[in-house]
Amino acid sequence: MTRRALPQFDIAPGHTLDGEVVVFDPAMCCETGVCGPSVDESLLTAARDLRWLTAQGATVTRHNLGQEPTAFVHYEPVRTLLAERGMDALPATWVNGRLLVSGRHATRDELLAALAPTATA
Amino acid sequence: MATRAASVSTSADIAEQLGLTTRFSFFTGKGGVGKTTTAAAVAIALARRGAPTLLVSTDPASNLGDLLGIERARVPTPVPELPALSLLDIDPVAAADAYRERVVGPVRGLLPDAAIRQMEEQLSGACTVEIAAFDEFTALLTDPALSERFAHIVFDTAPTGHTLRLLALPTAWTGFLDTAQHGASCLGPMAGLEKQRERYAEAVAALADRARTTVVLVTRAETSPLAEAARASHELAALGMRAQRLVINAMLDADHGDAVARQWIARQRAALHDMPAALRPLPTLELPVRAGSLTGLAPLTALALAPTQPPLEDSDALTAADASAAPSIPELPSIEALAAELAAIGHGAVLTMGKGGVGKTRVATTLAVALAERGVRVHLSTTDPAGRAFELPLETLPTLRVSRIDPVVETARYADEVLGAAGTLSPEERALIEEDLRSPCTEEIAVFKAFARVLAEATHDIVVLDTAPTGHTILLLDAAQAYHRDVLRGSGTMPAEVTALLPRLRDPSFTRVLVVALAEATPVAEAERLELDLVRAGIHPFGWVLNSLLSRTDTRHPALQARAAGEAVHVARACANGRRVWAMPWSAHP
Repeated sequence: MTRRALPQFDIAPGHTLDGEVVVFDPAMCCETGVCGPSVDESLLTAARDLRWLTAQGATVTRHNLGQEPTAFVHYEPVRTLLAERGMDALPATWVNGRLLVSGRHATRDELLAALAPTATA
Repeated sequence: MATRAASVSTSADIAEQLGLTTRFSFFTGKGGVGKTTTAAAVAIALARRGAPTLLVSTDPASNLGDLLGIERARVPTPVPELPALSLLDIDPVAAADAYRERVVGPVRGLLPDAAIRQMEEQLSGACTVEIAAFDEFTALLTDPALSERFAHIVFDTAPTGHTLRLLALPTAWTGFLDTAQHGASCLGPMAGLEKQRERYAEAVAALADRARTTVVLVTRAETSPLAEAARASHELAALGMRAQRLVINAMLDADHGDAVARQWIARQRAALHDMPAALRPLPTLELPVRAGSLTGLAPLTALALAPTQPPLEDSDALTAADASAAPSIPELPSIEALAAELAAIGHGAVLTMGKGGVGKTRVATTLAVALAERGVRVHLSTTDPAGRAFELPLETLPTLRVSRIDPVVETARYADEVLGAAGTLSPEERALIEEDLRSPCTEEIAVFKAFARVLAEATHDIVVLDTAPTGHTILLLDAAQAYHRDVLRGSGTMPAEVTALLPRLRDPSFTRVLVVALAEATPVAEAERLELDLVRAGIHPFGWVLNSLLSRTDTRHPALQARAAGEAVHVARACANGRRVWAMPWSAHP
């Protein structure tokens, strides 16, 4: 499996990512996928992408159903999503209050597009 | 009796012989080695000196309460006949249920049922039971009111190294629970503990303080329990729990001309000769073999006060009394009868399951040989490193093939795969993932993958495996399978064998699970729990095999006969609810 190196200059120098990303994950025994039948690289990739977003200035929060169920209760949009689409809707990502993707993790390109870089003041 | 009383007054009690002076003591060892009995004897010895002592029992199979005249002690309850001793029962399964409810309860009715079920399954593994039990210990280790009330607190179990290491990783608390940002981990079950981390740190510190805490490793003079003791010793020492003692139970020193006793002694001599180096420097107490369960405060007190004295030297009288009082042991069919039944079917998978040390490999091997002798084509796959399966006279059994799943190799391969896929990690992330990889689940998953490969070929032959996934693993794989099917379409991360396997495991005409147990209190209770776990995952065991029955030998040795008589009650429990049960006699090669 090939892995892309972490992007160092995906956004122009002097710019920052401004925005809020909220991710809701299903209850996984372990988010590394260690407990699954194979290593789940998509989970590791998602973890790294989200961490990178944080380093670029975005506000990222991530909630695992098994660890923080109350976060699900308090976020109306995810409750509605689960009621409509069931558990397959997880993981789901909201950017600035808008549902970006559900049923899988957002790719870094999708996240970057949704969080338009803004020039730092 | 007079002789015994005289020698009691001159010998040191069990706590003194173990050099046990600390406030806390933890007893660790495999099920059936006598942890609870030994812990109870130590607590009685301490209490009889007048030191207020609390005995904490986590053994769901234990009838300590009955023995000491107390109904389930949910709070520390004084023993009527020995008021300096109090008893506290912790049921780890009930504790885990309560713990799960603390996490899930607040959101029940607020989230869809499917979400609730997913959370409940995540909190149903062995890790949750461990964490929940440790949560209970924490209260006992850090409560100042209890410190004032009791000079000693004796636990009939110990937290595992895996639990302690998870708690000790600062990242576990700060990096992951705070932000849930990275690729964590076995931490799901710890979610309910976040608010108590200071008390936790305090508890971990008390454990690592040799002035406060002693670990007693309880074992028997057999290879597998000794290996387990060495592993626990090493692991707990690495976490600072270095004040350790070793108790070797069920020693026999005279064979009285009995063939079974002679083999028993030969086996214990060989096992002690090959004792792991890690155990050799430890202060060691050897205890003579006793009847399976000690009924009443009196025999426990005898063990407490004169631990090394053989309890049955007045043996003729005792044996006569036991024989008349002992319930008769039901006739059970043999493994050969089981082989005849399976041979008639001719294909499918037979899985032997059970806790370590109950003899899964012996049952699997005996069954495979019996099938091969009937001309059935058999593939025996074993996880036993260098066991009896490899000593079989394969040339005389042309239809038998033997292969090996090496859990160490499979786990290492899997760990490499995981860490390789994880790529660049911070040291904290790496430490946490590596700890995940040391969890019991990881080995199970790694072995499961190898297991799936072997089972894929069971269509024509009979495949006999001495391992099987637990219900928890199967349900997790189920969840993962659904996840992968729906989410990672076409990514190919789900091996085809695994996809094919899950429905076949649940097909009773293809897969027959044999739960292996010993006719002793804790192993029978463990087997019952294992069965429930499988049923939860949609797998209904074919039946049980009771291994190592002394009552199926012709021993005339008084101590061994007394043990044999003690098996009856456990055999009866195994046969409950119309369960099919097969029997294997005790053997020097478990």
